[in-house]
This record gives sequence, structure tokens and C-alpha cells, in this order.
Amino acid sequence: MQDKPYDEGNIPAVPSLLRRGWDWLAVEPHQRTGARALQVATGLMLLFRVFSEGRFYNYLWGPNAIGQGGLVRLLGRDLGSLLDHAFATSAGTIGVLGVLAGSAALLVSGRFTRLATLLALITFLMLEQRLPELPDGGDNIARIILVYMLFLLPPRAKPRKGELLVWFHNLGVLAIALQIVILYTTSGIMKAYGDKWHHGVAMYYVSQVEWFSLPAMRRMFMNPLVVTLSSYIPMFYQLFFAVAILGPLKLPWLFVGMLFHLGVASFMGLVSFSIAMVGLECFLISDAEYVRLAAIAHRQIAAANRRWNALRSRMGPAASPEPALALNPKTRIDRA
Amino acid sequence: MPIASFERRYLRWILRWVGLGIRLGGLGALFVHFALTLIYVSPINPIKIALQPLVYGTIGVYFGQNWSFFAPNPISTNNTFLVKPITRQEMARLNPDALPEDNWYDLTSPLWERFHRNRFSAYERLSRPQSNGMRMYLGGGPELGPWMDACQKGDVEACHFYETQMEFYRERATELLTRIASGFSQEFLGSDQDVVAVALRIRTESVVPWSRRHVGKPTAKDLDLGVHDLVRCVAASGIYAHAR
Repeated sequence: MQDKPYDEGNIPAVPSLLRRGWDWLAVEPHQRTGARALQVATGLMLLFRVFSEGRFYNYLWGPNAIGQGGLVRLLGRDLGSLLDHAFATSAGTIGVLGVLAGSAALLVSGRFTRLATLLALITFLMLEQRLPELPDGGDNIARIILVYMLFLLPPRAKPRKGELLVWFHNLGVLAIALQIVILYTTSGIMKAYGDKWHHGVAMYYVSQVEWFSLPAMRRMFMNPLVVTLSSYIPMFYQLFFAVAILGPLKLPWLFVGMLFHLGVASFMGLVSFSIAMVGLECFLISDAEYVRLAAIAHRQIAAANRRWNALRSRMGPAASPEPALALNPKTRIDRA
Repeated sequence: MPIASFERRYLRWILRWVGLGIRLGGLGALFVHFALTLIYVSPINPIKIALQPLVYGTIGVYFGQNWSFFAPNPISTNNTFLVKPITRQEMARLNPDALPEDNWYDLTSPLWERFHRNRFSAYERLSRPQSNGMRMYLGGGPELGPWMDACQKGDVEACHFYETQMEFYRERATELLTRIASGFSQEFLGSDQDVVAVALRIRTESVVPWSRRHVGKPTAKDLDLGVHDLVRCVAASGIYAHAR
């Protein structure tokens, strides 16, 4: 007999596809490992921003900063002004950065993640609205994702099957996944109708602009093969992202995305953006896939160990390292 | 006893329906949210124009997003921000239509140079307010790109929206750039000189087109943003004082 530990989601008359969708949302929480990876990446990205920009707090956000914006448009006169008041003093500005750093550290460590997400969202939003000309695409996606992350279960939570919290966790998972798909697809479509992307020379132009380039690599992008491939690959990658992650190409596709964003970090210097994007790519890997990847990694490590031991025994006793002192109780006593 | 059992059953029934209502409500909210998001990120189309107040008042305010990432066409210009601090004596004999060519300071290039040396530094971030301020002044920001395109193709509604937004963006950009220039002037020149105003200039250097990449030279064009009163007590960044 089928185990039905929950009542609320029991809708027997619906067609099977709808039923499967309902069960996906209602029964078990998904992407637990991916959600954890996303929390760590988001936390690291926020910490990177606080530590690299924090010393300029007075210039960027303080009482006499170049940024004089606020949250009134978003949160109304009362709440908006109250939060903006933090920037009325230097101490308040440091406080905002401190809370952001603290909540980012909690996200990395996996403790009080819901509270940490809420505090990170509020402080990140405060900084963003204070100087809206400062953030980049990585901050944009992080700010949106932080809202959806509020619905995710804490890492150590063990909810009952079919609990309401599971439903909202899975809605959060769905929201994050949809947002990633929107990001990639929009960007891909926009590139596809741009002349320079269409003709495969876009990356030449990006590589010659001081803001997003490394002078040492400019000559490389004058090569027709390099420029064509480096323009077409990201465009097709983004265009087919939604289709690829639903099929068997999912893991290689995500792996290529991670490599691509490591390239963006080093070549274009968009470090925080890349951390955020790699976190999102890690999020899309399902729990079962993580288990499979871990098993593959273990097998590879075990095989490498075996090969190393075999090599060592072939090389003879002279090549083998000295036995560890700690393994010999007598030696340990003698040394003591 | 039967009454208690009836009440328990009734309570369970209510809880089940409340639970179902909350779940369906959450799912419905997700659906509406992403439907509006899709409209927000889509190119200009009749639905977007018809639903513009709703979409911009919800997603635009709380979930504003721009995923153009160098599309439809990547940035192909280097915009540098030039500032000329003007003292009280200079101000008295200044002709704003023909600004003198001496003592202009490039605030952007030094930040890029440092950023090229260290990818983990904040120099790129520090250049962002200037760069985005200049882009905002010149084109209103990436959100306005599709509206400008539609306007150039003859869409009257898109033109109206673009023009109203541009007025707002230009004003905001000028205010930001004046604050940056004021902060620099006070930090770099200190209180020794009686600076009362700042002249702002955007230098736009176009990247050599692909077809002429081995032989071409970049061309530069200056755009003066006028002379603006110095904004007193803008906080020092701490990076220009060393260059004195």
C-alpha cells in the first residue's frame, strides 16, 4: 500500500502529470545540497564585497557620501526613512556593513540561515539603494535570490513529509530555478539579435574596453578564431540553457558554466558576479546528482590511491616515506 | 464522545482546506510573479506597453532586473570622466561655453589601471559610480535601451516614455557626477585653493572597429556637462590624496 503521510496534498482525481508536479512540490524538500552551496556562495560573495569595499564606507554610503539615495521609494516614508537613518552617521554605516558581514558569515557557516538571509537582504538592499550606480549584475541576481532564499529550509531541518514548510521550500527552489532560466534566456535572446554577437565579433569589443578587460589579453581577441568562438559559445550557451538543464546534458552544461564564470572572474575581473553565478549553477545540481558526483569522486580518489600505492611498492622501500611517528605507541611515549 | 469525534473530524477538515488554500495561494503568487517578471524582461511589445504601470510598479520597483550582459551590442567605448576644479578667481572670468583646456583631471583611467593590476581590489567598484553616471547621462541606463530602440523605429509611446525617463536620468547623473567631482576637488586640492565650482566633461573614446583592428586608431570626443557649484563636505575617498 502506498505511504501517504500527508493529507493536505491528497488530490487523487487529477491527471498524472499534475499529480507528479504536485507531489514534487508537496512531499520531499529538493535541492538541499544545492541550497547549501548557494548559501555558501552568496555568503562568500557578500563577504568579498564587504572586505574589498568596506574601507570606502564613508565615500560610498556614509552621511556625506557620493550616494544619497534611500529606501523611501521601495518601503514607503516611515520604514524607508527609518532604515535610511542608519546612514546618518559613520557608525551607523559601519553597523550596516557589520550586520551584512555577520549575516554573510552565518550563511557560509550554515547557522541561523533564515535570519541571516533576512538580515543580508535588508542590509544589502539598504546599500544598493543608497548608491544604485554601484551594483553589478551579480548584485542584482543576489538581491533577488535572497528573497527566494527566505523560503528555503535551514540546512539541519528535518521536516515531515508533506509539511507546509516543505511546500514553501520547494516553491523557493522553483523560484530560484525559474529566475536563473530567465536570466540566461533573456541574455541569450538579447545577444542573438545584436549585430556584433550575430557576426561573432562582440568579444573583440568587450576585450578592448578598459572597464572589462585585461590589457595583456587584448591581442588574443584580435584573432578571428578566438573572437568568433568566444562570442558564439556564450551566446549559444545562454540560448540553450533552459533546454540543456532539462536533459542529459545538464551536468556538463553546468560545469561549462562554472568554467565560463571562472574565466569571467579572471579576464573581466567581475569576481563577486562570478561567485554568485557559480553558486547558482551549483544550486541547480539535484541531491541525487550530488550523491552520484560524490560517489564518482570517491571512486576516483580510491583508484588514485591504489595507483599511488602500487607505484610506491614498485619503487621499493627506499622510496617509501618514513612511517608516521604517531602510529607507533612506543615512539610516542619515548618522545614524550 | 461522538460530538468530540465530530469536532475533531471537522477541525481536521478545516485544517486540510486551509493548508490546501495556503499551498495554492503560494503557487498562484509564484505564477503571477514570474508572469510579470517575464513581461518585465521581454522586449517592448503590446502587452508590455499595456501593462507598463503594473509591471514597473511591482517587478520594476521590488525585483528590478537587467540581464542584457553586453547585449544586444557590447560596450564599445571607453568613457572617462574629466573634472576641472574652478577657483573663485577663475570663476569671475569664466566663459562656460569655452572652458579653458588646462587643469582637467581624469578620474577614471587611474582606477582602471589599478584594477588591471589587482582583480581582487575595489578599484572597479570605485569606478562604477562614475562610469554608470556617465552612461546614465548619455543613454539613461540599460533599462532604457529597448525603449530607445523602439523609439528609433518610430514607436510614439516608446518615445514619450524614453524622453520622460531621460530627463530624470540626466538630472540624477549630473547630481552624482557633481558630487564625485566635488569630493575629488576637495580631497586632491585640499583647502589651500578656494575652489567654488567644478566643470564636468565626458570623454568618449570609441574602440577601433574589428575590420580596422590592426591599423585603426581610437577616436575621442568630448562632451561638456557644464559648470556646477561645488558640493561642500563630500567625504574623501582616500585614493586621490596620495596622488597630490
